[in-house]
Amino acid sequence: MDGAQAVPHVAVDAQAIDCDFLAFSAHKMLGPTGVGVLYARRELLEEMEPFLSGGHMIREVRLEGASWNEVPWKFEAGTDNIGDVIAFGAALDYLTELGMGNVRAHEIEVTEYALRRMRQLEDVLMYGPLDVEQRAGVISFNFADIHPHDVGTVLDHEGVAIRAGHHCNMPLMRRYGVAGTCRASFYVYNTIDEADILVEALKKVRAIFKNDRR
Amino acid sequence: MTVDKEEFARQEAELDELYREIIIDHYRSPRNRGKLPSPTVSREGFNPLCGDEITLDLSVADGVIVDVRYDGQGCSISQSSASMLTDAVKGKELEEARSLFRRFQAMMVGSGVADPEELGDLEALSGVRKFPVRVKCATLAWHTLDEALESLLQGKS
Repeated sequence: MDGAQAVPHVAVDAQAIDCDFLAFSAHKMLGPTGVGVLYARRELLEEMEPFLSGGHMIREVRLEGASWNEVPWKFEAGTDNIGDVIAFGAALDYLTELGMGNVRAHEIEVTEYALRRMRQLEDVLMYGPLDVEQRAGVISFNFADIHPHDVGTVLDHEGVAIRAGHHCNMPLMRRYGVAGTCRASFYVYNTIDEADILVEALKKVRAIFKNDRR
Repeated sequence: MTVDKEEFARQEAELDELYREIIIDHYRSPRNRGKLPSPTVSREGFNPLCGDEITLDLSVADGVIVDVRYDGQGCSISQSSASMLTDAVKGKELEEARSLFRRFQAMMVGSGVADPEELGDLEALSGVRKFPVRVKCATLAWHTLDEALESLLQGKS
């Protein structure tokens, strides 16, 4: 199961949902790039053969053959990405201390506020469910007559970082008949004030891209 | 969050330089948009990173670009640049058009050899230089033109 999007935002109990494998990435949850977690049920890991050979993963090596170390070392050959693993640990401790329930509650609060304010901008098209409980802390939107990359450039200059484009999902963009969308996302460090700044920046986009034909 | 006032003003000015009225005007009211029924040459340009597309049709007689159309989709910079290109090259000789491409290119990379005055309306796109990731948008139609000219000039010799 790909948990890269969910694990940073909601409490996930891998054993309770009884999944075989669960992967998630540090860079989406306050940690560094280049490190992540693969959770797997122990009995599966014990059955599996190593995929990489190197230091740590062997128990004994003879000319005639070798035996493997125990889980998890069997799969952690060579020199680990030690610094990033330690940094990710600190990020996980921080999130655990905040409490994943509180992380989710904060996201809902900011997202709900931003949704409400953005819906008041009459020419901003919103995608996804309007019920904030039914969505993550991301808001995809478009101006019907302005390319997402132009929106992104203006917002960037107003100090607002969003993502614009096809979001690794070209088939969905084709289904909506759009070149791409703009996507604002919120996490523990975003505030209600920043949602206001986003809305003001969107007004600036419209001010630059006046549409006299309406 | 504190924002340095001077820095903020500088960024606002950059934004105004990027999205000048003439650029928005070409984006909203494209010139020479569409396809020619029987072009002498037709070339497609594509920027896979951002999805911008341009098709450029040229009709050439006696070494002169007598008609030109563009079609495509993408951001305001790529589409307005294409629209301005069509205005700029119509009626020009092939070598003149190529020389214009080179001067435009020089302006976009900021090499200083371009005199903005002689580029006319195209000078409006000089503000894109401050936005390195958007330069490709502005030059897409021009590289497409260069390919079309190349094929015409090759074919002639």
